[in-house]
Amino acid sequence: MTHLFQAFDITKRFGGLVALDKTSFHVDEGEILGLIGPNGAGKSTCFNVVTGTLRPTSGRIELMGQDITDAPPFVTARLGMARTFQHTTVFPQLTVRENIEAACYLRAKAGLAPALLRTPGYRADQASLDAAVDVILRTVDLKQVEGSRAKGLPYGYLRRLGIGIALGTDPVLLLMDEPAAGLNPTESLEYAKLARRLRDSGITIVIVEHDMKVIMNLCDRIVVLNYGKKIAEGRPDEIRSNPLVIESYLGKSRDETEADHA
Amino acid sequence: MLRISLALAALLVIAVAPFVVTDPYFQQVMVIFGIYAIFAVALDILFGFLGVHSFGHAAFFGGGAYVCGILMETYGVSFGLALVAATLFSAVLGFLIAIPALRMRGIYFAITTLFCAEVVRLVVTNVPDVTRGVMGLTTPMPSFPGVPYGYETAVFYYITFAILVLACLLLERFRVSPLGRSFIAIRENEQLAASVGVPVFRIKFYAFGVSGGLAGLAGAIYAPFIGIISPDLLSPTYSAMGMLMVVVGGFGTIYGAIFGAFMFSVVTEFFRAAAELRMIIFSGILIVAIIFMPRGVLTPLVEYLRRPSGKDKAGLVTRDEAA
Ligand SMILES: Nc1ncnc2c1ncn2[C@@H]1O[C@H](COP(=O)(O)OP(=O)(O)O)[C@@H](O)[C@H]1O
Ligand SMILES: [Mg+2]
Repeated sequence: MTHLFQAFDITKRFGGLVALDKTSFHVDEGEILGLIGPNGAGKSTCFNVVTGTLRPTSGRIELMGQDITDAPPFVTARLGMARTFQHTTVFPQLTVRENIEAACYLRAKAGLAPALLRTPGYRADQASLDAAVDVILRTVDLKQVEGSRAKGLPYGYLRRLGIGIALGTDPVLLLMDEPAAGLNPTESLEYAKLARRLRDSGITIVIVEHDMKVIMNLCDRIVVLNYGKKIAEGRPDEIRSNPLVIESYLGKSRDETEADHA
Repeated sequence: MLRISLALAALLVIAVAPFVVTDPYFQQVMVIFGIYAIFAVALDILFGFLGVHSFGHAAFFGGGAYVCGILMETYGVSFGLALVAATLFSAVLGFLIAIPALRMRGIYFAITTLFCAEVVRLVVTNVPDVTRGVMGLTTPMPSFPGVPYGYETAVFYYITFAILVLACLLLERFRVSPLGRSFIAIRENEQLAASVGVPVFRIKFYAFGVSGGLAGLAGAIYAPFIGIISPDLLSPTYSAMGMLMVVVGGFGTIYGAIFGAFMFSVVTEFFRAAAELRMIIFSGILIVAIIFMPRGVLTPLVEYLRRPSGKDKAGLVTRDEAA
């Protein structure tokens, strides 16, 4: 059996600090994998390393059987891996629609010359791109503000726009870094729904999230990091009852965890 | 519709201007305006679209001018061929400068581009056998077959503006194309652009070549038109002038660059009465404009005129929510 994505013993050092310590994990097609761990556990670093934003100090990374260890971000994106950022990341001076258009770089088939000459092929490509942008705008529920400049939109909208930008690449695998950070509980629930919808549309998802209720309900499988090391991996119910996890991570919200059991 | 009417109006104005403005001196000013506009538009490709702030674009403008001048004066090459050669030369120079410069960030990038331009200036100054050094290189007036004596300025005018219009048309088409959007994405957030698959380095590299080539083409028209060029053309003054033209009009908009060029050619003429003071007065106005209108003089105005009525209500409401 082959996995969609695999990381073998990836290590990332920042000077003396070991942010990722020989971590291995895999992602299977069609699942929602939760990546959890206390602050500073190395979750964002993990995303940065697997997408090529940072080079791993050692280890190997594979996407669909292909070695992508040294691939820069624009290559991993082309191979089907998209990500959102923990901090809100959009193209501020562009409108919401233009943000998505800019993110559809990989979908555009017509080259430079057809664009300059406005060939029929280019127009057809343009029409299909427009349609794709509309679909994305509806998916992340931003169609109604498509003409507004991104800068100045409310926080919740920007978080969704960040996801819309990632969807622009037509990803196979989507990595979401704390998509619900800073959102209110209603918005968080919307998120979980969106993640499920994306999965149902065929996108495999890895999600970093702090809200245990959301994670336990949403994910098929969970990987737990602590100090850059993987300390547990399994189904939500296995993670919930894993003593190591409870001690290092769930411990501080033990009451809540037990309440869940009851 | 408004855009098309505006474009047609602009074309009409360009076409008839030499018949209305018959004063030879002002005709020359109009040609200079066109040349500066091509230069500014070239710079805007890097500055306004990609957010790449080249501080050495005089190297391409002056380089193109020298290649054209030397080919015509020393080797008797025709004007048309010299234009092509100068454009290619500056494009290659653009690629060469891009290689070290694009490995730098921020201030180091600026210094590298500035430094490269200085190297070009020093080379030109120190090979007088080829360039006549500080003496300056005279460039013959090209022969335009069938054009009666005294009408050369008009020919230059139409060549210059034909190139400008074509460049603007292609650039505007490019700007609204998917590839163009990705250019602007790089300006807005390089890391995010890369994360959606945009090959940032490669695009910047190509853009340097195109921008350099177009600036070289502007310089190549300039040399025979002015008749004499000196290494001053390669000095940081010209690089700074290019950047100011782009900034004053509003970067990333094309028309902003043209407006900036207008300010630096036609409008400065109105300050002639003030003689030496004119550049000082003008610089003062520029500084004030940039402080109070960081996005250019034209951009806020155009946006105000373009704002959709009613349709944007949703957007406005959300903006209020954010406040
Ligand atoms: N670019 C960087 N340079 C230096 N240290 C970093 C960098 N990115 C993250 N770190 C450090 O690595 C550790 C893991 O951080 P991070 O991956 O952001 O954790 P998480 O996302 O799980 O909260 C932290 O101690 C953090 O300070
Ligand atoms: Mg993080």
